[in-house]
Amino acid sequence: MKSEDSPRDQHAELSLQQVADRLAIRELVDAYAYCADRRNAAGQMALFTEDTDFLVFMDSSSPTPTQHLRGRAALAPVFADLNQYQATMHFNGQVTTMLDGERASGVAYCLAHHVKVDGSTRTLMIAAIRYLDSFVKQGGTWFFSQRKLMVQWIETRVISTD
Amino acid sequence: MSTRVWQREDRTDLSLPEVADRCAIRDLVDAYAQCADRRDVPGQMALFTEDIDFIVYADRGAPMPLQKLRGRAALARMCHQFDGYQAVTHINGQSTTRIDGARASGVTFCLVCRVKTAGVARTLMTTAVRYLDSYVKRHDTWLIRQRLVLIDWTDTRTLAPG
Repeated sequence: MKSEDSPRDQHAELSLQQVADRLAIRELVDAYAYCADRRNAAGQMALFTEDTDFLVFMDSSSPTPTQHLRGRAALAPVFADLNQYQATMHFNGQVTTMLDGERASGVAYCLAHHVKVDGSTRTLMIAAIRYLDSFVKQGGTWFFSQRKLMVQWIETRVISTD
Repeated sequence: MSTRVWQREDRTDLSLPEVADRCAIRDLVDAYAQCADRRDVPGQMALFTEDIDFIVYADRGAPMPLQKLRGRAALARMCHQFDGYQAVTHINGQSTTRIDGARASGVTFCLVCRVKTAGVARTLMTTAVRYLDSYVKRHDTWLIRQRLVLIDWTDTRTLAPG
């Protein structure tokens, strides 16, 4: 986790290219949320490198991931898992990036909302997530080379429709 | 805080150094959240000027502050308030800045979420905060000179046992 510390990038010599990279990475993170909520699994997978690493930590204090998926193709079942919900909304907060040429790392905050219908009961599950990301630029496009999904807390409650 | 007309900044002559300043200030605001959530108090203190003024208002209508702290040492003690929680998540929303040379001001929206465990009982406390900030740039690094913490509302709920 040490790589997360000293979180600030250098800005004094920021170039237009680096501004473009920051925007592109923010859009990549937002595209993940958009594709997840639209159930566009193919679009979501296209945001990752072929040899991507995707790790899920349901308990972010544990050093061992709950799930570790290797390769873009392995992500399909994770994204298909969202189909059990009537609606999801990945509400992104801050996305902080550290650029290093064609590579970058970042931390993205998200309140992932999941609505499930069971008969006449509707429940809302909110997962507060910190994504610890590694990015790589290939052929001018930024991709996730690694995404660690760290669940901070989960709240589940019944919601009313009116 | 007041009824004056909201003044938006003029963007017609935005320069690259100004963009760099905006990126740096956004990263500064997000670094505060990151350090708070990681319980990295030294990292958090490094974001402030030595003579930081940190003032908390518990009710948006209250004229008197709940807490008034001056200087990094006093603030470090306050920042250890997060130590007792199982999880702390500062989710930042919009951050609006106005830059004037080596000084700037800004408003940042934040949902501060704290999970507390007592035996098997877990509670989630959410505080909706607006940070009213003043920043200064020293040796090419932006620092927080003053932070007013305006608490709009607080909500405490019980979570399912973890």
